[in-house]
Amino acid sequence: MVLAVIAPALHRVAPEQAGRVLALAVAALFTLFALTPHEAAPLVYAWAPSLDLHVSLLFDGLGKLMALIVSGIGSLILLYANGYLHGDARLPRLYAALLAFMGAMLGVVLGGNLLFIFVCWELTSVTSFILIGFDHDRPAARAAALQALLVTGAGGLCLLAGVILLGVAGGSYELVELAAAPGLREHGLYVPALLLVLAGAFTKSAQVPFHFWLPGAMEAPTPISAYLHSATMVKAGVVLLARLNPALGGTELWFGMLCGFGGATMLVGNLGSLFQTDLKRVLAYSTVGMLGTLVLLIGIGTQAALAACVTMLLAHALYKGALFMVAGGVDHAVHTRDATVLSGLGRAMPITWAAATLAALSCMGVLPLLGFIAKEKSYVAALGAPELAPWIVAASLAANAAAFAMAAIVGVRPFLGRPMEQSEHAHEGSFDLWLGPLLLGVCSLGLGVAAGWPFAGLLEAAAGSVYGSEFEVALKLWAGTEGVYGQALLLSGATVAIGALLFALRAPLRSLAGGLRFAAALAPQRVYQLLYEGSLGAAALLTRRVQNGLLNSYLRTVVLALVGISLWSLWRQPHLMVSFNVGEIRTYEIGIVALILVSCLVAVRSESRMAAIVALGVAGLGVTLLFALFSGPDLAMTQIMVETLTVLLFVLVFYHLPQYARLSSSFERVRDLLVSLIFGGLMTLLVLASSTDILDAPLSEFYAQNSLVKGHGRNVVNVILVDFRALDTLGEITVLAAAAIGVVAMLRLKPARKEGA
Amino acid sequence: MNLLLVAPILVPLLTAALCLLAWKSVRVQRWLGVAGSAALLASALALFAEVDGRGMAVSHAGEWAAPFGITLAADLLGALMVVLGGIVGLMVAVYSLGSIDEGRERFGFHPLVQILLMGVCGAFLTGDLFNLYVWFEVLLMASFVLTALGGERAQMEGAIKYVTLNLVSSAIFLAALGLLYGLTHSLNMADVSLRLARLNYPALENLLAVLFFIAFGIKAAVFPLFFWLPASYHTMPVAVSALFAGLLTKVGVYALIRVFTLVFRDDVEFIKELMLVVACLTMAVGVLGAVAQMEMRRILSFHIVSQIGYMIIGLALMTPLALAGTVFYLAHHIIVKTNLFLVSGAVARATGSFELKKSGGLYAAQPGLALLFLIPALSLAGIPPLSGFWGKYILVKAGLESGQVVLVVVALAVSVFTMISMMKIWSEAFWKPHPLGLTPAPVGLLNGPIAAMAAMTLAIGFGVEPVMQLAERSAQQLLEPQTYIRAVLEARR
Amino acid sequence: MNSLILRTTTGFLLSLLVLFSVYLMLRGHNAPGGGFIGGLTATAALTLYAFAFDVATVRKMLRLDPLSVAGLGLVLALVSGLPGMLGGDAFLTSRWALLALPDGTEIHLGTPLLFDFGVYLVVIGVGCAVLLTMAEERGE
Repeated sequence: MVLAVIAPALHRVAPEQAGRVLALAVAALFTLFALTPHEAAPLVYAWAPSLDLHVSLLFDGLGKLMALIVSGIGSLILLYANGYLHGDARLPRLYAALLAFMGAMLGVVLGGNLLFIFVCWELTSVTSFILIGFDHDRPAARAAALQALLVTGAGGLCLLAGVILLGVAGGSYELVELAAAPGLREHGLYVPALLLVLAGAFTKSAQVPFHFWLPGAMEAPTPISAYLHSATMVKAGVVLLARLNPALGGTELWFGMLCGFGGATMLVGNLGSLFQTDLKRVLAYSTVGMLGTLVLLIGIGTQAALAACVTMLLAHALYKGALFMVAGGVDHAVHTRDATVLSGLGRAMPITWAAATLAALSCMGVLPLLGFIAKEKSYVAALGAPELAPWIVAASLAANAAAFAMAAIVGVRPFLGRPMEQSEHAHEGSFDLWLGPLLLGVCSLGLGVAAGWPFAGLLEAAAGSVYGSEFEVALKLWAGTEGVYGQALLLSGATVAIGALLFALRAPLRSLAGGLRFAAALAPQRVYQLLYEGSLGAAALLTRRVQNGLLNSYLRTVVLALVGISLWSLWRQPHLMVSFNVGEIRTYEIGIVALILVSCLVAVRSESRMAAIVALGVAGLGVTLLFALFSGPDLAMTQIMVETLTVLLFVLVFYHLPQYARLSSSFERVRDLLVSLIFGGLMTLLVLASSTDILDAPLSEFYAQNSLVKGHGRNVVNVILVDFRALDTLGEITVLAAAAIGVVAMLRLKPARKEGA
Repeated sequence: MNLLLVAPILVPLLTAALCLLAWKSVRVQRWLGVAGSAALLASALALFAEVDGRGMAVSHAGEWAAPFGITLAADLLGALMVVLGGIVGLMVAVYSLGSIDEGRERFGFHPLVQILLMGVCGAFLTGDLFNLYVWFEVLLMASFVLTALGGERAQMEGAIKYVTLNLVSSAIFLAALGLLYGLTHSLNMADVSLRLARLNYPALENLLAVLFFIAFGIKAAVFPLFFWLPASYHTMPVAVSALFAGLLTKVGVYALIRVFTLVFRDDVEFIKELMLVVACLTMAVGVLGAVAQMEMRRILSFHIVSQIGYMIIGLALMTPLALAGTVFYLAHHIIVKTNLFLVSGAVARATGSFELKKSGGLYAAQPGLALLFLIPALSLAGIPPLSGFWGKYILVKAGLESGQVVLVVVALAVSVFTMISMMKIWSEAFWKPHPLGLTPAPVGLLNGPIAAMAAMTLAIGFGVEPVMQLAERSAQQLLEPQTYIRAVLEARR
Repeated sequence: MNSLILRTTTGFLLSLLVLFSVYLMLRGHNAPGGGFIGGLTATAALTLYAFAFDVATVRKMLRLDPLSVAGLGLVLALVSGLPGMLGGDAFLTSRWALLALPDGTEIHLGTPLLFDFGVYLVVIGVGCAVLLTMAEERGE
């Protein structure tokens, strides 16, 4: 099992022409999944127990259903890609990325540990980024890839926070344990955790108002769009919600959020699709709508709704995958995807036509395809919603009618009517190109006719795992005309009628809604743009102000920070004892201090950089003299040496720089003076406050006593230097050596040429 | 134990000294550099194994018992940092073989790198505050000369800013040290800690803590003290900036951790508040700086600042999990950031420029390098299951557990921006076709260290468990300084 | 500065000053002096010599590049810390030997003296490296 998840990622090194082989391998994986019976208990492997991270795999009904979709469609897509990008040098990379994605996606759908799911979740975002930007020479593809990554990535971070909160509230990341955790819904963290998780799921599954990245993602080649952005990845959010339903579902908030956003998305997506002309964008909007429907159904949360949800999930994966591949096949044949131009391709591409028809019929929800069952079930669910049922029914009707028209636009219209100009060159694609859509179309038909067999049991189990416990799902093609079923049938009739009307009115609709579409569908896109560019602009502005390139402003900031934080500290702990007992002062001490002060003044007033440095050097010398008086001449010698070399290096570096100029205004000078004075005052205060003799001073005594006895020397300072603290000296002489290298290099090594690395 | 503790300091010193003896022969120096770095890594690993087994290693230089002599002490954090220093040293030494020009090599590049490593290791291992100052001086001098080595105009400007602000840091450190010595009459960290507790003078203690915070904060490049870093890192050769990026700021962070877990422990609340504010601002300002740049090394430099903010989170929260997060983040960051700088060098070598606008076409031409960039870049952006994600996860979790919502929001927003700027590099340098239509040149040897470090990133990412356990144990030690103090002050004879 | 007097005296002074510097270094343990001061004195002597003759002569006299002298000093300082470790003690633990001269005086010889000699060499190396290079650059 684990191997099966990891294996695709290991396949990375794919040789040329390997598409079919890989497809077979994945098909084998599919068979393996199909033959493995589902079970409710997770398989757990420890990965990082100290982080509560376990690789736990939940191969229950939902997991198995999704795994079958991911691997089944995956194998067809690999085959399709082989035909679609035949001979393209980038094909191996595409396979590698697709397989890596597949591995990650399997992790998402099978994961039983929220943290593990999150890991795979982010991986799908990254692989999606790479895949959307597959045509990386085009700026539009790069921008779309970044946009998708940022939207899903930002959502992902919300999800991370939500997952952590759930872990804190429920005491575990294991879905099974969370579902059993008592009082999770009453926990104080429930609301923030839920909202954060929803943010993650909604961005990933392209719910309004985050849906805009999905149509943008159509920049990717068709196999990628068909796989990631219709059949699998975008379902991740839905799957996550389904997974969390047993643990978090059933509250007012859950119902309101999911139905609200899901319903809105359903309408925006499905109606929006009618305004598009590019086949792929049409399909993308319709996918957005379908994702909304799924979220809505999970939100309703009744048994009927969840049964409808999983049926819809399967039906949609089958027909939408097929329609995408058809659109790609058409594009491949006549090099256009414009719905207003395409017509009469049926004769030239009979197999594709057949596949398209089957998929479109399923999408329309026409008897006897699987789509019909799914649609009937969703109407039943809508009718049985605990609240707001009429509204939900009305919205569903509108959405399904739009879907009907959409399916006609994509799956029927291009193949009928007068042959278009380019259709003379049109030809059926290779085996690789038509096998996938045809197979999926046949599945839609077969599963419909056979009323879900052999998947009925699986769908039941899947609905059960979303609900939290098993219940019976009646999967019938013809459910009868009694009660809700009759109403649903009526609604289906209405759907067909309105859908046909919408299809007939598609041209006026497109022109009429031009302005509307822009406002409704692109507004979030504009917000994204504004946010993105605005934050970059603000960042640039801020950075120019903060990192302004002026050394003296840097210094001022540092000093002000020091003073500010010190004042803060004093404000918190004001009890400072200051003693002015400085003892006896000798004349030469005054002299030295005066020397230091004068040279500092000279340094400040000086017009030339060189004079300033020399003056500072003198000040340093004064400090050294103080050292010599208080501690010992040997230490002073070291100090002089270091001091001299530092000044020398300074001079040498300055030598390369332009002349000194007075850049600051008098206001700035006064300000700097003030800053310096405050700083000086603070330091003085500190010195006075620290000279307390509360504690004993064992160090100097120890040195004095042991110098001769153990250190074999009467010169205490020297013994300190070469024995007590010889390690310091070792460091200091290393500093000297480094400084000497610097001086030599600075004098000798002239900049030669501009070098690259 | 004595040898193990001192070897990470002596090995680079000996290497540097031998390089000086072989001043005329660049070839000999090169191989000395690589061999010395390898030996350093070996000795670091040996020390780590010892500390891992016993918990602490202590050695009193000259056998002068604490607090009279200089004590070297390694707890898990110190030993871990030394190992990381060894790794970075070796990688940079190998990388520099293929990237440093001969002029710099003839004028001391190799011995300077070794001296820098010596200072870094010394700082990680010392248990004495004045000795820490000495090691700071060692690495400041070595890094200053490395910054200026080459004599280009831009370098000089960077070097001036670098050295001035760092000298300010040294001066404040020394002043703080003097005041602290005047107050406690001791330099040994463990001893000072005990004496401060006896003194019980929180007002002054906090003021001194502020001075230390400023001094180390400049080194660590936290807001608002980070200016030297983005002003200088893009001016030097890549091997040097990679070395600096990996180690210099981390010495500052290490010193902050050490001082604020060991020495100043009385008014923890104050330190927590201070660090909280600093962590948020550092993360935010750093990352905003990064997204505003269009030059690869500048982007990376600003990101260092931002991620230092992440490391400060642990200090701000002071919970076991948060400190473990900081330790984890340190380890992750050192490897990833060094590697990204190395990659930037390879990119510039291949495309001819560090400017994103002038480079491109690498994904098509060199998918291998592209992959090698993606690993550290995605790790930096915190994509699971790479190392950066775990660091982020631990810190965010610790923040949420402590109820620090603002901190968590900032940390997560910062990670979005990190993603933006990493993907900007990816999009411009790798995806976009080269603006001049050039085919990128091969980078040869440079890929070696890059690949090795990418492998380490993967290893930390997938093998997160042992690293995390190490980080947790290390955090445990930091939160129980009594063990450290006892180990240092206990006379061995 | 091409004066015969200077040259003659310097030749003589050099040996004297170097001798004095070694003396300063050796007595440092008991009286003011030590490696730093000794090294500075020796550097001064060598610089004077360079003024009197030329830099090349001094370089030739040193045999090694000044920076190599510093390197040698570092090695010595490092090595001086090792004997103590042979006995299981920490780095830089001192070892002393009592050298009894025939006339009865005793001399304490120990590793700290070796350390100081290392310091002495480093100071000479560093000083000469800096001063000689500067002198050469000015001459060009």
